[in-house]
Amino acid sequence: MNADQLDRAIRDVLHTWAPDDPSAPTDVADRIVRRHRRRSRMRVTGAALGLTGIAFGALLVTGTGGDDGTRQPASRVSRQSNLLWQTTMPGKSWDACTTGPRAVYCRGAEYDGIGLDARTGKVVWQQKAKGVSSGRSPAGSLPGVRDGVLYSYADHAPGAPRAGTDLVAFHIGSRKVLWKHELADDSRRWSSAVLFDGGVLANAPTSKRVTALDYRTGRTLWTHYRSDVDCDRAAIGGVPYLMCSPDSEKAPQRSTVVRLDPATGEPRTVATVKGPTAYIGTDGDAVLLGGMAGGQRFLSDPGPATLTRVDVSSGKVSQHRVDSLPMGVVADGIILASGGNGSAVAYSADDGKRLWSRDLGLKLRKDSRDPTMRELPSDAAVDLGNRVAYYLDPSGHLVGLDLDSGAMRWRGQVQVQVPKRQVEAGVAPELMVYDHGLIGQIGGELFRIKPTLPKARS
Amino acid sequence: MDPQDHERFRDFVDVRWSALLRLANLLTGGDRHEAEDLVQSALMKVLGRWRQIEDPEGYVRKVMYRHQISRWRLRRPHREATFAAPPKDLGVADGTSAADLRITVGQALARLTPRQRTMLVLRYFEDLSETEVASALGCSVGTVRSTTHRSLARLRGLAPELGAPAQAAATVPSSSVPKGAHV
Repeated sequence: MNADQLDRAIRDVLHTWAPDDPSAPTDVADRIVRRHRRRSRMRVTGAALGLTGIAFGALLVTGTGGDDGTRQPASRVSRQSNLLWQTTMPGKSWDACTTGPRAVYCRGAEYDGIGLDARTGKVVWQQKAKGVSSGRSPAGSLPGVRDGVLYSYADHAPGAPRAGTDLVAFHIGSRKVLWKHELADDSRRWSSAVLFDGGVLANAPTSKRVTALDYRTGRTLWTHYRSDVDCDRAAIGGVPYLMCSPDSEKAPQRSTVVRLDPATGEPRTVATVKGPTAYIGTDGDAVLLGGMAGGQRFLSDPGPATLTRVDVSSGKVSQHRVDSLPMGVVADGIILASGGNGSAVAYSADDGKRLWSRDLGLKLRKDSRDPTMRELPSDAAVDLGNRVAYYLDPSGHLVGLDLDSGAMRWRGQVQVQVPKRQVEAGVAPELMVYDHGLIGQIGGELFRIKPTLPKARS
Repeated sequence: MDPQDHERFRDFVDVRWSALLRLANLLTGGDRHEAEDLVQSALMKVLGRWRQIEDPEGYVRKVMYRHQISRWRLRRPHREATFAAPPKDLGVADGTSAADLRITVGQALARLTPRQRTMLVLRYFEDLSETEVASALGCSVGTVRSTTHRSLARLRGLAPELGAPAQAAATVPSSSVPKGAHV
């Protein structure tokens, strides 16, 4: 490409690169004015305190203060927060939520989709499920929201014993179903349908095949088949990738990371590593995989593990030994895994080094019918702006840990209406970062809370 | 701030938010949260001088350029760049599909350093001349020239699909040359 073509390409990309929702957040101008006023007031107060401090300091120097020169550090854990709203959603069983522009969306057994105003918590849109029979849908996720369309799941044959699953595109503005596409199975995991640049990558029509669907029309763009492997799916930089691991002991014992051309589905193997692996997540342009390193038979067996980092741009692979399989949320080079018994462990996504571990101090009840089972905390919701990882328990307790050190920075609680219900072992609440605050879901309870963090050390 | 100024400021934000967010989105490499922070920080600054400023938008933009460059030292996360509005065909007749090229260039832009990206955004999106960029960023024209050159080289390095610069590409149509560029 010559200089002229490059100039044009950059210019065109820059001019067509638009944010998802360019409209101004509600009352943003007023909020800026209020922040500005607060800041001005703080400056005035700060100046006054500064003068007072000088005077007080002078007293200390002359010994009048009677202090021994030491000062207790201020508590670094805040317990302050602002509960903006709390809502009980209709229906009984809710499986997954996601946030969109000024809204939060959830999906459950009785509703294929419900939309709430993120400012007020009021239900503004809902799509009831048809033929609800079991009262429970397969747990999982919501694929997401893009350009005013919510991608969710619904039963393919409502009311049937084996209802199957459709990927459904709901137009939020018109409240219409734009299209549906039947998936390979009832898995409604986050990787069952992945939004990529220009389409949705769906696990259909069989478990060994993926189909790229036009995100506006649902038209099939291309399909891709892989044998002898089970693959996870993710979009990195808008491009679909498959992370594949052998589907049996008879299959070739290697894992591959495969890039699929967004326009044609043409596969390109980025990297191959020995043995079966589990997909952990992405860290920038790198895919993180976990493998066994201690002679275990299955990935779920406890024991040492290998963290494999694949740079999808260069195909470079680096491998590091870790004390256990670090499955969890990846945030800015840190993997936040569950350490069991309600603790969190952080590993470096670069070299697998254990950075910190911390008891979350949350209330996780044991199931009296099976003491080995207990409630789970939510996955970490990470506010990268403040570098805090938040967790929520099923009783409404919240904690915020410093992402880099694991130190406790915030504690909060929301009064949920179901504290004494039967323990639902294995069902975790959900927590999402939204506009520097949090939106949490515990069963049918949804709330928005703004933690007040302690000021950072100077 | 009196009610009249408040009203004017509110109108300004309502009308210009999307344009400012678009610029911030480019400067931050597609990071929505960082982009909103950048716009709000710049608007806070303009608010402090609201009465003295004749061209609020120009001021806000300049604050955003400088602020973005000064923030480059902060360790920030690499988030997914969002390509929310699918653009039309780029029309680059080099055998590469337009969608691929757009994705490639977009990803490469997102991976430049904030300083490099800011330089390209000012030259190719804001259409500022080298002199104007130097004035906006408070550096010399030579620095603008060398940083632009390095940014383009790094862009090619990050996106090998763009290929090496063609030796014969001597004639550049004047319409595609940034203002003030020397060819």
